[in-house]
Amino acid sequence: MEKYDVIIVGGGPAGVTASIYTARANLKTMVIEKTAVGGQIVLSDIIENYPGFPEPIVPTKLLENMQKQAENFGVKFEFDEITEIKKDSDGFILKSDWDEFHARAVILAVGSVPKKTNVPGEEKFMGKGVAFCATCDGPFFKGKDVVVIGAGNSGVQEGLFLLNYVKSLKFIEFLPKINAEKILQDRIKQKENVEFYLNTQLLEIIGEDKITGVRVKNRETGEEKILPAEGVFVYIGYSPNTKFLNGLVELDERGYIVTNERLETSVKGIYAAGDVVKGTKSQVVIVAGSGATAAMNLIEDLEQ
Amino acid sequence: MGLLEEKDKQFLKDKFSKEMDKKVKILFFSNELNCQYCKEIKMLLDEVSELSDKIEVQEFNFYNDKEEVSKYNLEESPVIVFLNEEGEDTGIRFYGIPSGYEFSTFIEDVVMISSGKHQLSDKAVEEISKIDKPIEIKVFVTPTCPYCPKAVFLAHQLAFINKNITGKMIESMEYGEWAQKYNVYGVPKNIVNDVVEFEGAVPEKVFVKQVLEAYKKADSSLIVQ
Repeated sequence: MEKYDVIIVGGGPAGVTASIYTARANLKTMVIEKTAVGGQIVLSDIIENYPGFPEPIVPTKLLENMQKQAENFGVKFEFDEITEIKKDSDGFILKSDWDEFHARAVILAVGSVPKKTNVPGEEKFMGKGVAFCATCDGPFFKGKDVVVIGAGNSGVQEGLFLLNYVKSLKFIEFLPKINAEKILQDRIKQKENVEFYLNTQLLEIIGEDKITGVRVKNRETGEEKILPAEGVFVYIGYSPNTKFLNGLVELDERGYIVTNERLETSVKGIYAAGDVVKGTKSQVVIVAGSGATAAMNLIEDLEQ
Repeated sequence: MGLLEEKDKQFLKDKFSKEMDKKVKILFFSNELNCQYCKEIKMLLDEVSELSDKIEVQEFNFYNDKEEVSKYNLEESPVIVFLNEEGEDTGIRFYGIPSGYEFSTFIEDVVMISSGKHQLSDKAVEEISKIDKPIEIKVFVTPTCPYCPKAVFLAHQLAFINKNITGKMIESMEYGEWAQKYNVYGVPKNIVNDVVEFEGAVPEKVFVKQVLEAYKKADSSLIVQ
């Protein structure tokens, strides 16, 4: 079994930043990522609020650079999915289907996954018209009518990207107002072919072989109607990736990891970082800082 | 004007000189009738081949060069085929332009074929080596999909270590009819032997398991016959 000082589960900006700190402190460090380095942020088309970059940056480029920086300090990147973490006498055993790794300390930077709407039709059309990644799947909806579920920051930002392709865009927002940052609201309001359905609930995604529309209900008047659409992009927030932990560390009622201000979890030797930590906002600059905080405290504790 | 920026050229030049060992032959099958990006693909290949004397590019006409087309079992064009130094088919294919995020996969392929070094785990190599029947892995992508290169490179690595496997990147806009036929509205979409379908950039072991699943089905269909 390979032995490390620190294993970081999750290769988003929180995990990679943490790895830079621990490796730079001469701790043998591995980052385990189940899909691709970058986490949720690489699904966005641009980042314009990460300090130090006056021009918009492509998220994958930023994360590639973070990865290179980590590798320069000796961090190993492993692509695997951890299914179980167990305590042993001098640390923790992290298991995947094929492998086992040992670490003296662990940082959980597992992040979150986009929430589903759970309305009828969503499962049936998953990957066949229901999508979560505008940059990936936007090109399939060239010249088509598309709805975006959720008018928060993600919804509006990705909606702006979708406008490069689609014929029309309709936002369905459960709350009575648009919740995106003002700058994004101003940009989308300048666009033609965009409509907002506020205070509106999505009830169903309709279609035989392909999506033909969505059924929605105005929450104030109770009026239901069908909006024609061939694509549905879902941006209604995120839920934490903590099921695999199986009660190992304390979670709040929504599944986020509970930590103290040093980002220690309820189990000594396991830290958490990034937006999987209760109350952490999903911004690259915030989760990177969170990764650094967890790493610095871990370094202190291991040196004792 | 070239497609590659000067600083990228310098980066690749260094990478190739450090990491390449044997020669790599790239065959490009173009057509002049129905090809959105043939000119750009040829330009890109030429620019890359200028960065190392170990990269050789040869262009064929999909309609006229029938012998090569049937030798490599190509059903459509534009398509890029990779051969190793000995001129053997690696099973690695790009249907459509390897641009955007896929350009990095293309570069990884060049280095892998040349150096013989892949990134698969020992366990994956062990499992995949058992495959003794033809397996075709299609990976549908868009150039703007950040997760797609992961899936394409996995398919290409499996093709590289086992001669029975063909790994195809398919650019969904250029190959709109195929995307429609396979009902692709989300990428990456992976289809193995047209019998196993799965979506997303999954970890290596999940990908390998799906390929083995298709292999088992290929086995049982033979028994039925």
